[in-house]
Amino acid sequence: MQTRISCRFLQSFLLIFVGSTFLFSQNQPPASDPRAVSFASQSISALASGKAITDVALTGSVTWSGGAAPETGTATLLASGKSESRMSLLLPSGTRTEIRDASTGLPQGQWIAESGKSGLYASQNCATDAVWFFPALGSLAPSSSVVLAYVGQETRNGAAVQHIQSFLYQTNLSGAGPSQQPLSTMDFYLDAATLLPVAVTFNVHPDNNASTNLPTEVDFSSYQVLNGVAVPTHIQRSLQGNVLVDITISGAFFNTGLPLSDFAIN
Amino acid sequence: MKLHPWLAALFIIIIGACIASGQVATGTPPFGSFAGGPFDTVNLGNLNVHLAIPVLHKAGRGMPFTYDLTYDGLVWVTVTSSGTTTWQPAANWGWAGATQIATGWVSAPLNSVIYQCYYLHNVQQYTVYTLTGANYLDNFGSSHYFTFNPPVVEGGAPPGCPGYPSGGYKPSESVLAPDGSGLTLTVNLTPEGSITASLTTRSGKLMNVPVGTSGGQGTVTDTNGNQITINSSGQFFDTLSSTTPVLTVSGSGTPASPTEFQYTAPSGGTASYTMNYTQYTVQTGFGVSGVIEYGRLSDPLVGGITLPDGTSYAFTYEKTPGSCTPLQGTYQGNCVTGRIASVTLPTGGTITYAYSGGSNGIFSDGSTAGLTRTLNPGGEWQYSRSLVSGSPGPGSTWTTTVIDPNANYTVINAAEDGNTSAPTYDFYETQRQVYKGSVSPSNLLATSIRCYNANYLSCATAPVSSPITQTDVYSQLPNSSTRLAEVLYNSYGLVTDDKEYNYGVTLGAAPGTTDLVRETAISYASLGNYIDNRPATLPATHTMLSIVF
Repeated sequence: MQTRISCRFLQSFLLIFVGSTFLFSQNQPPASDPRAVSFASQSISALASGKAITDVALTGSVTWSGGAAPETGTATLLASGKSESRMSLLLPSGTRTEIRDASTGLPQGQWIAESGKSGLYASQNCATDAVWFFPALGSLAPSSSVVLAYVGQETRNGAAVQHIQSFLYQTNLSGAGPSQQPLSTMDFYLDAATLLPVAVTFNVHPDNNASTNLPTEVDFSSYQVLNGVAVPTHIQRSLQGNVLVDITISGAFFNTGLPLSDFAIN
Repeated sequence: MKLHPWLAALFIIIIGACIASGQVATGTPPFGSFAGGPFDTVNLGNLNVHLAIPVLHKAGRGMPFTYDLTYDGLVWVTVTSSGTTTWQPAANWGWAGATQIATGWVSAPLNSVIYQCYYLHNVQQYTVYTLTGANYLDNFGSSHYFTFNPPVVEGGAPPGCPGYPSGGYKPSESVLAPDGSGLTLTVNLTPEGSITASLTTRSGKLMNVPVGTSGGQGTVTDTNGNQITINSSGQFFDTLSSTTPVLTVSGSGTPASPTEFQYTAPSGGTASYTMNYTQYTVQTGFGVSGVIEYGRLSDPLVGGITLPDGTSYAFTYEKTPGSCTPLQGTYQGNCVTGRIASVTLPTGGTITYAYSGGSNGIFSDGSTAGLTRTLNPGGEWQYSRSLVSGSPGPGSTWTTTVIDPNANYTVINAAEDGNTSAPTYDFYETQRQVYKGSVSPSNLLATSIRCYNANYLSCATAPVSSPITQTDVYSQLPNSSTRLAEVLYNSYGLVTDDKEYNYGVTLGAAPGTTDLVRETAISYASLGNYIDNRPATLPATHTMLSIVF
């Protein structure tokens, strides 16, 4: 009897071990394009100047056009690691807040309108970079789950850029192997001369429809070295061609030890 | 020892909020009321303008091959994402896609939720997909909305992990359209979130249709096995021609790559329709409160269609309200909203469209508030809508006032489908008052009142909910003398009973038998294979009374 139990235990152990090995081998995403990896690495170097950045706080002024009428106010952009971010816009009509948080392991998001009304991001809107306003903490940074593709050199708004595309690969517990997550696709446009990011494009989606794409673009310009880091002091985020967030950065602070509580979703 | 591989579920995100986005009915949906013509059709419920341009009508075995380019003018709906509501343009800016014209296509709003589960000493993430409904846009541009209740669910969650439905996955579903079209939609969802869809008509025709795109592959098969097939290269075949395409569609739909529709002319040569594009700067500028404007973005819009004989249609678009500077590389005259402003016909005639009322001519659900439609030659028609009850969207009631070129008024009451669990977004006419001249009791020529689903109270302004099982249409003369036509429908939208009542019926209650003059009852055979429209017996008609005037 004891032998039978041991055998069953051994069989279970072997099954798990083989299964784990199988799943591990099955769940390897394809390799990134070396040219894309090289450009991404150079871009990170151009941004951070060799400085290891763990968190960032950007402050400045903002024009918010996502409400009933355009408003101006102050903006605070916080990020910790690659998965935590918070945008707070202090406006005459109230505070607009957008939070991305993956401290639990799952990417989540929350928006709080000026009126106080709030809601969670739909899951399909949590697949792209949480730190959309500071690319050094985005998909350009090395990651085992992010695959980079090199699209080529292009002209964008009259300037030469290197075009890199990133997307996440997700494991599949049904054993079908990893699958590309189209909802995570992002396009990075790096200045061909400096390799500093000039624009990032991706799609957001209606809350009830992951199949519909709403093109979103973040433009970075007016880079200045603040506290040893190249910071885009002009950041514009547009939805379907309409600039909703227009931020002028006046202060940048790095590695101040931002607590995770800053990014808590309630 | 018992191992439980799905040891612990860690965290779940449930996005429960299902925010209703604006939707509009296009094409010519069942039970709708339409005006306009001879070239365009106006839906009197939401003022959608529908155009059809014939390209190829060819006899075939079992199924003729019919290919008309269709356009629907309601090109904007609202969508909400993370607390922001914005305008979303229709696919192809209102034009039916290449494959859609033969098979239709399905737009399926797939929802995805990421979960994670602790499995074999690793935390693994996966996605579960949910489909609560779908919209089938048929080959005439009409939208047919389907609701899956309970929803179709499939994904990567194994049993025991978060996201795995308590009753197991439900990867496929077949649903009959609630709009009376008789269409049945079958969808299949894969663990990776891919969707396939097929439609069956009430005559048993099976259509495998593209999902998420109005182009691509598709097939139509009738009950005798005759087929029309479309391959991924844009080639269309019918049963009589399995090697030589009946029609070939090419081009990417840009100014540099117009869309070509080529077929073999009776002469044996190649005939071609060419859909040309102009790159415009599109910006809405409607100013609807709470809705973020679309654009500026550079988009290709159809500028014209050249026919094989060299004549052409030309299209222009509404100028964006307010100030807007066109983007480089686009038409520099002005920005456009994407709404059609004029059509010039091959004969030289023109139809112009001007939008008014509401917020720059639009309501928050994307329907048109007011439309001035000028035909040259033909005169000016005015259509204006005003809200009677509710807010734009399902359950609202409206009046549409039509003024013809001779200043005669027609006032139509209409209700948008109030079925919120399986909405069709269709409009149902509830009353029509026709005047000679302006609106005045003395000018009233005729009134018709439509009651639905055996509700006889306050029909003129009553809400209406699909499915429609019965209509009672009262025709009233100025002296209030009233007759009635009562029609019953089955779930496929087929007439099962038609009763005609003589003058003398009264409003407000179910008709008795006193004034019944004729009844025609039809039953349908249960043949299976989705063939539902074959009468089982000859219509039983009973004439109760001869009508003498």
